[in-house]
Amino acid sequence: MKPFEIECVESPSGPAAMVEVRVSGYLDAQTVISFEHTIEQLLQRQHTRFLMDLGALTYISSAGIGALMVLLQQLRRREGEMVILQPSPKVHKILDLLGFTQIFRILADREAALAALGQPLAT
Amino acid sequence: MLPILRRFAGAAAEELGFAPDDVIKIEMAVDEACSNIILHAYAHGVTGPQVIDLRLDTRGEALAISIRDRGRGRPAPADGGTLADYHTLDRANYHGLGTLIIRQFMDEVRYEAEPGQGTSVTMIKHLRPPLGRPDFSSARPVTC
Repeated sequence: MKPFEIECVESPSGPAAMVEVRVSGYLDAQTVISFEHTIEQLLQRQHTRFLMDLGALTYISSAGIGALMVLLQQLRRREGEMVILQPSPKVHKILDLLGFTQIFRILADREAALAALGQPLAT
Repeated sequence: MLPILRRFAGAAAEELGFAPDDVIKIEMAVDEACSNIILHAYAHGVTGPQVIDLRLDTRGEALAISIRDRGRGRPAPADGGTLADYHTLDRANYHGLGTLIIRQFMDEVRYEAEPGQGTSVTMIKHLRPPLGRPDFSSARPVTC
């Protein structure tokens, strides 16, 4: 079973630039602490556009969903945005069963996700 | 610990023939109940071994899951709210969603607590035939 890992790739061009957060393993009541700590650091660096890549996330609990909602809440207050990219089928099913696919902006395509965040595509 | 408990419950549910969505619901209910124990039962200076006792029991066409701790004995969580209450960005926090998930995903939920002795939650999920598979559970032989 894959342990929880979080990787961040920050675009170098200033506060409105995007940060891509890749979460793998499982996001539950025990691993969410590490997730929240990382997110807090990114917010303190003034990032306002988050691309959450959940393709390698195998499970998400209420704690993980709550952390995503709090992040979205904070970003919207800063006129920012979050897009979830291609969650794994199980995580997508969990979000769907709980109605959060109506709340989060979930896209299956990386180009569409970048466009939704107002980011230029790599040439 | 939580991944192991989820997989145990999920594997049992699959083996019993629960539909895929119900397997996920059972995994989540177990995860949320155990998470509540980790977060609350052994907090506030409770001493002694920190144990989660998880038992699965088949009762006819149902799976009964009993989860018990030996912590401080918490009262049953408030039975209020709906999922829609959490579909907003205007909340101060999203605590309580786990308890709601348990009630939404399981068919029956019962809490019992004894102050200083621990808390138990019993959750029951009834087996339903998945789509495409006929339910013959109530069929009776016909003689002509």
